[in-house]
Amino acid sequence: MDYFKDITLEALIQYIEGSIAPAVKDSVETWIQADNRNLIFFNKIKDAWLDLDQIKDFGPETVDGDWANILSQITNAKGNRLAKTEIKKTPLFQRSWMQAAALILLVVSLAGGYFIGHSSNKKIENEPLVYNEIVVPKGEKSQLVLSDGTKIWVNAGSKLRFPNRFGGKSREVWLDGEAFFEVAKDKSKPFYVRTSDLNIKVLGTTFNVKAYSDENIIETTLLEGLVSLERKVDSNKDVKEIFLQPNHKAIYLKSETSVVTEEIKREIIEPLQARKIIISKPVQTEIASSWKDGKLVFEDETLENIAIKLERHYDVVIHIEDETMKRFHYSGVLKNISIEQAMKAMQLTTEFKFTIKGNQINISKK
Amino acid sequence: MHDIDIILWEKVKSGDTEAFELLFRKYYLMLCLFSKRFTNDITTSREIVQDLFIYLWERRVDTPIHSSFKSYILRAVKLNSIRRLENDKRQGVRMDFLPENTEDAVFFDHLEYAELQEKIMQAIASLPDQCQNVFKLSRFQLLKYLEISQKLNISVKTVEAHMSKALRIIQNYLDDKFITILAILFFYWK
Repeated sequence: MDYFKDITLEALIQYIEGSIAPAVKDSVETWIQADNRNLIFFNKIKDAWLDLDQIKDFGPETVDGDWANILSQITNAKGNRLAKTEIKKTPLFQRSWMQAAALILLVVSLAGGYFIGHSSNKKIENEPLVYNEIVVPKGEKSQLVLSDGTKIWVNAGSKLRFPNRFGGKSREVWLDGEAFFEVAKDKSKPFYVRTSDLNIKVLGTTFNVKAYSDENIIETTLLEGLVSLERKVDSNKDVKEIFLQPNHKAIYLKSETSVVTEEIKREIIEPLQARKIIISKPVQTEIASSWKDGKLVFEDETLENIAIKLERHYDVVIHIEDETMKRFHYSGVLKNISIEQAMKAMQLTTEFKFTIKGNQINISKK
Repeated sequence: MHDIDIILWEKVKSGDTEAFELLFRKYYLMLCLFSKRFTNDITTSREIVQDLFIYLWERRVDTPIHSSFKSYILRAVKLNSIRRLENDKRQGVRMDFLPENTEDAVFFDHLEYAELQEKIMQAIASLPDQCQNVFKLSRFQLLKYLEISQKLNISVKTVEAHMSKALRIIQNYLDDKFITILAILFFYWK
């Protein structure tokens, strides 16, 4: 049952803790009395909530510690020694951050000392304007700081082109792929992100852009500030730019045949149309930007769409042999685990077989 | 879904600790919360559930788990929690004479409660750092918004925003469709 259709958890909790505004109090009481199931649910939430103090220290570290305790006991027992006693925890992102750093250093040295770094050194203004491209391979991610102090995280399988300094009246970068931007404020120089089909204009803000040239959809998610978007082909005509408010996402389909994820289907109010920028209802922006913290988040997503994300994240190629399997749905968060562990975990909810040979993964029905 | 547990359990029987860890991580938090409904003490419940898992491993070959791991382990947790309650002396864990039908209304009530609380705990663990700090200071240290704002050097408005966000995220976790057992596993797999 969907309890939170007519009431928010926040209102219930404020009611339970007695911090609720008198005006809202009535509406909570009306809701509780409206249906006996509401009352039962309310009492459960209340009990569970007030009891949290007693279990507040029971976090992921507790589970890790208790497992370590069990593991040491079962592996030390006589006759139970096994070669395989620990799950390998591949520190995917530690590795890739180091490699990314190495990559940046490589780009720096190749470009002959062009500037990456947070500073507005006078010397730079005299340097010749050079455009650099950072190419982040699949399975990696990267972070850089532009000459104006703008921070950019670049996701796996992406390319970003940027100048060593920003001359002229605007700041421009070119993106093929996904990146998270924290644009330094400079009202006199708007910041532009140019993608295959859309231009995004920024004054000083935080947002995520997903615009892979091999995907038929462009997503822009705004966390703070204000951005505007316009289609490239419209740029000479008198077409209004579209403004995006914080906690919303702009979705653009390049063609009628674009594959739309379940996540987006839930986020839109009006139907999507090809070559038109659509603004979503309020979204959880942390999902769009979770990749930069090393997380892959799926919310009731099809295996087919998950496979695309996994391929980029782990630099693998996934074959799903059975058509019906492509439409299986999963939710979850992957963090710092190997592709093999990810597959094993997904097996817990649905039976399937998988094989890993090199970077090829085959998924088939049991 | 439980069939997967059985597949894992079959691997456990042949000595696979990886499969055992998957089962442990999948159910541990929920089982402790379930046990706490009987013992009213989380530390005692953690001991009970850990003892059970160790027992399960040692007796994996002849433990009669056939149809559902979850149902079996829940019954065992209930039985051992009640025993601990009745006689607080450390008696050995016993799972060999599990009564078959111990699931009554109270059992399901406690299970539902444990699963609800489990989701709240997972939601809290998943909150972004600052949001989690604010939430914990408010909920567990009972600081006023003004005190939190001074402590963290942020505005009261920001504190309010973090609290709203925290509750919104927790609400999402409680919405049925948002989360499956998969996510449960991952949040406790760091």
